[in-house]
Amino acid sequence: MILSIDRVKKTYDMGGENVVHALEGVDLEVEKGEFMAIMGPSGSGKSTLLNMIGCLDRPDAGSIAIDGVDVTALPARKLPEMRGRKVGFIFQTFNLVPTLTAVENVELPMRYAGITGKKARQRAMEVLAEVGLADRAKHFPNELSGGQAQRVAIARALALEPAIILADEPTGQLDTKSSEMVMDMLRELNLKKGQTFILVTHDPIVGAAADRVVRMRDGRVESDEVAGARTAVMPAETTPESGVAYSAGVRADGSPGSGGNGHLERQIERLVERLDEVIDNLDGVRVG
Amino acid sequence: MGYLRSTLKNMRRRKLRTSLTILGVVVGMLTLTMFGAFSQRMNMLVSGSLDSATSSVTVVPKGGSSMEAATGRTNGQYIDGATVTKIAAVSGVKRVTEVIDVPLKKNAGDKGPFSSSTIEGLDLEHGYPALADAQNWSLSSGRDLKAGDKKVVVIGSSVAGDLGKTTGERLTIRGEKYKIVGVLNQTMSTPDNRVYMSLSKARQILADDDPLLETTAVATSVLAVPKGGADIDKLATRIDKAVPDVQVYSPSDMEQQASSQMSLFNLIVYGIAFISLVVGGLSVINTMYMSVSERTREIGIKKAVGARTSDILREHLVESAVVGLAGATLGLLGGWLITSLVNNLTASGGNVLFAVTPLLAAAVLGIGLAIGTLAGILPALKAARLDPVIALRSE
Repeated sequence: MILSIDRVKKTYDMGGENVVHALEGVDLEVEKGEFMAIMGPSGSGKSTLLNMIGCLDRPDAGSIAIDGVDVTALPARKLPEMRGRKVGFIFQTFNLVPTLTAVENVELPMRYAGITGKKARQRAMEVLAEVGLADRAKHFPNELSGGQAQRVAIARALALEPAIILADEPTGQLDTKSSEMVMDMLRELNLKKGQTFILVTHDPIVGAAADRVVRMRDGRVESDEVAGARTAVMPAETTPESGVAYSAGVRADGSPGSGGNGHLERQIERLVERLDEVIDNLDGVRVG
Repeated sequence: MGYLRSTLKNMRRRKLRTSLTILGVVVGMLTLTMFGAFSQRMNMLVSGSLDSATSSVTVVPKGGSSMEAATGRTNGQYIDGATVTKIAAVSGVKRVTEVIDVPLKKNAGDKGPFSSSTIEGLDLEHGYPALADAQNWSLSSGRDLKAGDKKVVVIGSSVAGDLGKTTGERLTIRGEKYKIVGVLNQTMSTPDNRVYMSLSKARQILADDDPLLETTAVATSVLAVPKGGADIDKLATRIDKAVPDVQVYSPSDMEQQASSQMSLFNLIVYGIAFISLVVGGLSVINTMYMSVSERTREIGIKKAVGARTSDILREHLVESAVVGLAGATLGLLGGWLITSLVNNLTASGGNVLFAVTPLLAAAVLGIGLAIGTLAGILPALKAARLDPVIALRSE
């Protein structure tokens, strides 16, 4: 179990009678390799929960264990070590440091983990290549498109190979095309590398891409569904065939399932679009 | 060291913010440099002029002060031959050396302790080495004066510079030509403004200048060299009792008077410097706080990817320390340029007003660094203690 959340509560005292019960007792268990979405209306506590898992905030009650480490039992000064290392974060607004280049941004968590110099640069270029942005390494965030910036953020989150990558509305600031690209990338990382993802989102497209959707309301888990036929646990080896089968929503034993609908549907949509384009172009071409 | 490089990189990429922050420090440091250089120069002149009196008792005509005696101004009073004999007769006096000081330019008037050049007549026949040892006689060219020299002079570095003359050339004084046989190295004090010649020649000039003078067997001041082992202060007292119409200063008297005159002066200088430092420091605090405000989100991001409180604290402290040092460097350079310019302009009057010494430079740099660091502490603490979730939400 890569993440175990047990009876977590959080209350914010905003002064006077204004007390916000953000989390009212949340239990959750996540296995390695899961691609999970947490959905729910504003105020449901999903972002608060994400911040807890990300070690940016601490619960008032309950415990959270990440990859065997009880982060709630750690003294406050040890928390920063968990950030970036045990958990990586991707934000809606990308949150890249504007005065650092793409590769320097990716190096950032490494610097704070004590990895510097050539080693850091090498690893940073590695992950940038994985997200397809090696050629943009020396660019500043304001020189990148939204999709590119988010990919740099993904690379940064991957840098120290964390147990879990958390994403808070990763497609919130992106247009449809970039959103699809980013989701494809996350899915690929999940399938190929077995990287565990937990995404908080409103976007039903994002939700549809997930194996498992946890719905929250008023600080509690309302429902917890495994989408389609995707099993929660990755097979020991991923072959190209089994990877594709996952995308297509086929069970491990070969029987068909309905998982991966959104992903597959979008691929088909795109093919249709391309065909339309080709036909349009052919209209103006005389044959014969 | 990696911190230093990334700090510099950050500063370069935020040019406007960095420049504004540094500017506040520069102004304070420039002021400190200029006032400090003035103070250093004053101190040098005083201590330089004291050198000649450190090992002997200085006797001047009544009505003169020790500063005047030390810097060679005379108020028209002299010590006559009879008095000199009396001084020599006091027990404990090994020998006396007579000194004549005459302005190089006739009727040059009173220009203050660092005034225009003075001719100093030295008792070459009776061994002036008492003076020579005390003063920083080191020649940049030529030779020292010796017994038997008549119409030759050794000139100080400022005189050489002002008149554009060097060893081997001729210097005209009161219509007579003297040969320059040596030029002294710069001492940053009174010897720079001196033209040294034989006592007898100096007496002639004095007599020509002052037609009321009845005899040339006088001195503008007398140094009484003590016998080995004699208590100089007690000797000074004895001379004072034995000899009428003179003022006697022992080395400690000279030092005391000089330092009390200097201390008020120094107090004012340091007071001004302190104020400019406070202003500089406040400027740094202000701009560093603004900087932290602007970068709140950035700090949140860094914390979210693993930065500890100490990491953020260190980053910001290093930056403000560099700001302090950079401001001090620029202020020092600026102050040095301005004071050099002023020195060049006033040098013709024999006045060198500023001395940017290595000690001053080190002090300015050190103070700049300290101010930068100290002023940066509070803003850095604020940055380090930001809650990452709140910080990430800002802007």
